[in-house]
Amino acid sequence: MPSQTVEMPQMRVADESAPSITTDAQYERAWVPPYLAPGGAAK
Amino acid sequence: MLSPLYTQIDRTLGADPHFGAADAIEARNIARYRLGLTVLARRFPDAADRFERLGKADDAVLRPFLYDPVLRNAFEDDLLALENHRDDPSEFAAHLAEVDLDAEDGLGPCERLMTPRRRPWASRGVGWVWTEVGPESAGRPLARRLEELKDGTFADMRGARRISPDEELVAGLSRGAELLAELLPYAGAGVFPHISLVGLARAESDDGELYSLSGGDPLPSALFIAPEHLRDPWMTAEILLHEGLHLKQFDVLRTGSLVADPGHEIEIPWRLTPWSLTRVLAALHVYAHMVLFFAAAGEAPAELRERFGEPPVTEDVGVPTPGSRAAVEGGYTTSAERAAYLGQQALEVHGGALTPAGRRFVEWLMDAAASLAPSVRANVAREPVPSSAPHVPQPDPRGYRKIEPVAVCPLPEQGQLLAFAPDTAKFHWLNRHAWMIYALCDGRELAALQEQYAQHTGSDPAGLASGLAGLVAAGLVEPVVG
Repeated sequence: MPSQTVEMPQMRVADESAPSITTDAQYERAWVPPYLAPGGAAK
Repeated sequence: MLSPLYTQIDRTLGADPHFGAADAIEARNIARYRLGLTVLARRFPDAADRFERLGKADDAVLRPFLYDPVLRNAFEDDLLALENHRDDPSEFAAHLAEVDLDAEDGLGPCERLMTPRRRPWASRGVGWVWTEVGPESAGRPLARRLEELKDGTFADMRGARRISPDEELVAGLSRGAELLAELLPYAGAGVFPHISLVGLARAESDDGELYSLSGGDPLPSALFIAPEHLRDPWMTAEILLHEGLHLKQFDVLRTGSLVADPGHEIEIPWRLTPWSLTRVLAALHVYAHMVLFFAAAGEAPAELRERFGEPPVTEDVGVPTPGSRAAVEGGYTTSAERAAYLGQQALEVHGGALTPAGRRFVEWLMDAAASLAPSVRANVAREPVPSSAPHVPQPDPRGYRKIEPVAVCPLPEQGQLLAFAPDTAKFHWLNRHAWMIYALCDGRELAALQEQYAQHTGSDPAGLASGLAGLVAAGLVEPVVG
């Protein structure tokens, strides 16, 4: 559930090689072209 | 019963915690939805009560709302407006105001408009069929918006016409879903939780007649199929897998980017126009799974053949466009050939444009496909892409504090913390190492921070410096000043 406080993670972190922070990107959220009949050009 | 190799590949593709396991992907999307509702409640105080009520609902209640195409489109539009610092009114609040939050019937808002209501794979996901909007609901804003989003999705095609399904067509969907889930219990069955709206339609363009399509943000969690392809359960299963994989990938992308640089274009031998790297990954995702689908179909047990008929005898997945290199020279007609080409391009030629998650995504798919198709070389370019090491600034001795207001949602079972950056209005996913550093940033001086960090990790202090730099860049913490 959402919270306004950040608790420490309850698990070891030493086995992880590096801190990682990722996000999403607007340009990846559009759509893919339709799948057309064989002979078409989208698939 | 599939051979052990196929079962293993099915598990590899359907159970990967980052890209394959539907329940893990859904848990991340539910966390993002709940945190998004919290953020939008702050932004739109008049609607805060309803946002907060929905955010506190059980997963089973929340799920049909999360995947509802109109509400999801509006939710994403609201978040995008926030990210782009626009003062648009909340379309999500307007649509949510139409909905009875106390109905407790397990239906999503658009599904509730339908008459009759049909779920073709009720035990596997919340997918529902667009039958007809009842006359008492046709004038409602929710129904009009659903039509608008559908019309927008088909805007570039000619003669687009939605088809009202009869019971036989709905049964065709159910048969195809049953076959797919029995043939591939992990990778196949795993697409259904990502599908909400299932519509039938006919349309055409200069490139051919429509087989099927799926929506991204413009019509989320939705797919359309031409009704002709519901007669053969094998064809239906293939199409449900194809489009369901696209919808699954959209859900993956909401919780982490795969492409870092969207500017790359890739020549496609079987097409005339180049594809973006994002589209290449979407096609690779499908083709790698199709290698397994056709291999498993070819060895389908007698029991499945008796129930669903004979599987397809060809592995060809499409004819090269006339005038393309493949049309002249041959090749690139099977899933394996296309997966091999796309994976090699994504890793060897454009690997530097992928995020670390994007590289893992391609390698995961290549490994799976290569187990079945030796032409897919799984061991290409596994070395990290050469790049200059990013400069990590020295941490500020005054220490760091979180930028307020803090809004987070922990996912301890996945070792991740979802955090919202208030100034940039972006969601960030922290692994447990970055999560721990973020938790420690409470305004204490750097020396105290370093001491606590060493006690909790025993790691090289370079990790602290890079973690702090990442958190500053993400807009989650700032140096203590004054």
